[in-house]
Amino acid sequence: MEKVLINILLFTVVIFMNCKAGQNEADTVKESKIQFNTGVYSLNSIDKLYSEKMYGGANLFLGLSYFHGKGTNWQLLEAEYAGIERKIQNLPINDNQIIYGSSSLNSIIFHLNYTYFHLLCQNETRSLYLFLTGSDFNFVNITLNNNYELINSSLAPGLYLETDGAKHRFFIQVSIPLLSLSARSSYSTNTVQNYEHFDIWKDIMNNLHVLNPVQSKGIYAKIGYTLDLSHKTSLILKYDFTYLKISYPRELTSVSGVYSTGFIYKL
Amino acid sequence: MKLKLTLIYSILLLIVFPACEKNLLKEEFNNDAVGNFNALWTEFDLYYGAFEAKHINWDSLKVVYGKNISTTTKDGDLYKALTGLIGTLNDGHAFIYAPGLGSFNSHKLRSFFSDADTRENSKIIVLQEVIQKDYLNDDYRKTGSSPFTFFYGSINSGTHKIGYLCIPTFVSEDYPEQFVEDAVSYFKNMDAIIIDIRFNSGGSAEAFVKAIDLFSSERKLYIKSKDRNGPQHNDFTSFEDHYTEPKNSYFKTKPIVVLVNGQTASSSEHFLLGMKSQSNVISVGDTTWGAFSVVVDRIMPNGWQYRLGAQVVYTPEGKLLTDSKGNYLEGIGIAPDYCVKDKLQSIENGHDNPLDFALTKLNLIIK
Repeated sequence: MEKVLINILLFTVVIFMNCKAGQNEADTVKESKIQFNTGVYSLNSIDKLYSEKMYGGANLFLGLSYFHGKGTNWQLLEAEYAGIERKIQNLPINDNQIIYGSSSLNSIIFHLNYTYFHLLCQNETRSLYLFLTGSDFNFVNITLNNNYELINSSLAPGLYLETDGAKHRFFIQVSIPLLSLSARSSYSTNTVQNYEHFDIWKDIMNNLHVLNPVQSKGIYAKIGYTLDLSHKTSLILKYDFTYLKISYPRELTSVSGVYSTGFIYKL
Repeated sequence: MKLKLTLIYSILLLIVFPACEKNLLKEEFNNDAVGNFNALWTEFDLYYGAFEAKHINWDSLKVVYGKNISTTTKDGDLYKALTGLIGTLNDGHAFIYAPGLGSFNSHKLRSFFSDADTRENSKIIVLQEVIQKDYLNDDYRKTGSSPFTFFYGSINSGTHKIGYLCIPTFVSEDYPEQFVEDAVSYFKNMDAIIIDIRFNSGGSAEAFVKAIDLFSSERKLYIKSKDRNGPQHNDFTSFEDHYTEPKNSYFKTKPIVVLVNGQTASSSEHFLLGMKSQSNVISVGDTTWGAFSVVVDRIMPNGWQYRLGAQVVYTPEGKLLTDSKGNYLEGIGIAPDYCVKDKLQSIENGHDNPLDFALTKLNLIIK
């Protein structure tokens, strides 16, 4: 399934890559944009440190982005937040059944991304950018003693393709993390008892590891549509997809899909 | 035209990706008897801490208990095989709960009293009432609800005044931190202290550590521990040191007795080990339950739940915590300094034998 998705994404990039290096005169003016997004954040994961079972759920998410740059070079800063109760999947549990582990995980998800785009090529209808994202994903589980499930910062190069219509624009981007700095709970995660003299920052530092692409696989993809409402404002609809598979210290597989709509304002 | 094609392609991608979301995740074990047996066996294999300390060949036990398991095995037979499997561990923290079939602890549950085969909580309440009515002075204080009633007060014993505190649990939600601190203040002018953790089956490290730090007066290393940190049975973290961290020195020159019995388990056994590191503490009662490890809880594919201990506990010198014969104490328990067993008949006659012994002993050692 992972390979199928990568092939779809590569195919998408290739068929749209019929363009030449260069830039339009109009694109040389620097501009800044701010974007507010909201929608539904869906997260499913199997984290074997906690359970063999899949936990999944969806909830409202909020996102704020800031773009700055010109046609050739763009910088983007994004922050996203969601609070999701992920329930155990594939297992009907009676209301009166005692659960010694956790039948649900109340989680806080926080992302912070910085991306630098550089225009690779452009024609009348399309622009293709190479980008590098410094991405930080954090899952904190309130249910499990406010313990962090995943702190994952990665450097992910990727391609961003945009169709340049008069009012309508479509875009797609895909990136793959090459190097990750990841902290997950200790191997013997304790789900019931509190820790003795537990220092979360010390614990994070102890569990922080640099992971290579074999230990930390991932696909980050976005697809979306923007409609210019006026010279200064646009509407955006997009879908963000994230797949992560981290093998250390035990396998965590996580898939998230974020359906959102937003408003862009040119400053 | 191009715009339309782009739109169609984008819509197709929007269908493909969301449809893939859950299909990218697959649980490792099927929800049949084989999958469930393997799920429990594998997680114990990956996490259980005391395989080497207890000389257990887990691979051979899989063959013994798993040989008759097939995808068509009925729940009752699966439960029997799994309880047989974890029963070999004799571990107070190895536990399975199968809704509709029962629950099973790897370590045989003991009777509350040496002269009666009962595990009724109502009998604990009788004991607590005897202590409150027949031993404590009238100004005793209590909080919480039965059988987790915390209470403290003073006992006149000869010419001495002895402070008494019952700590029935270390479960964080039930542990009244301020109430225990009030007890400490109340005990400042007492000649000696008795801390009763009989029938305290444990709780959280957070609570027992707070209690140790309140009643200890010397900073002492009382145990070391190692947690599993990898798939091999000998994959462990380095030693973690566990120290008492005294918050006061009120009881430095005062003898303390800790009352224990066969229901004193888990966190309360750690409390006992912490207190026993102090030069002014002795224990009276019966051998404790024998469950030292921190626990890991898991759910099987069919919803049955189980618990296991992922830790091994060592003496301050770094030697395995064993009895005099060299057996790891998980599943055996800690013997008291003075063995005086709880007897239901004595309690019903208004006598608490271990408490009587503790008072007599304290009268002899109070300076």
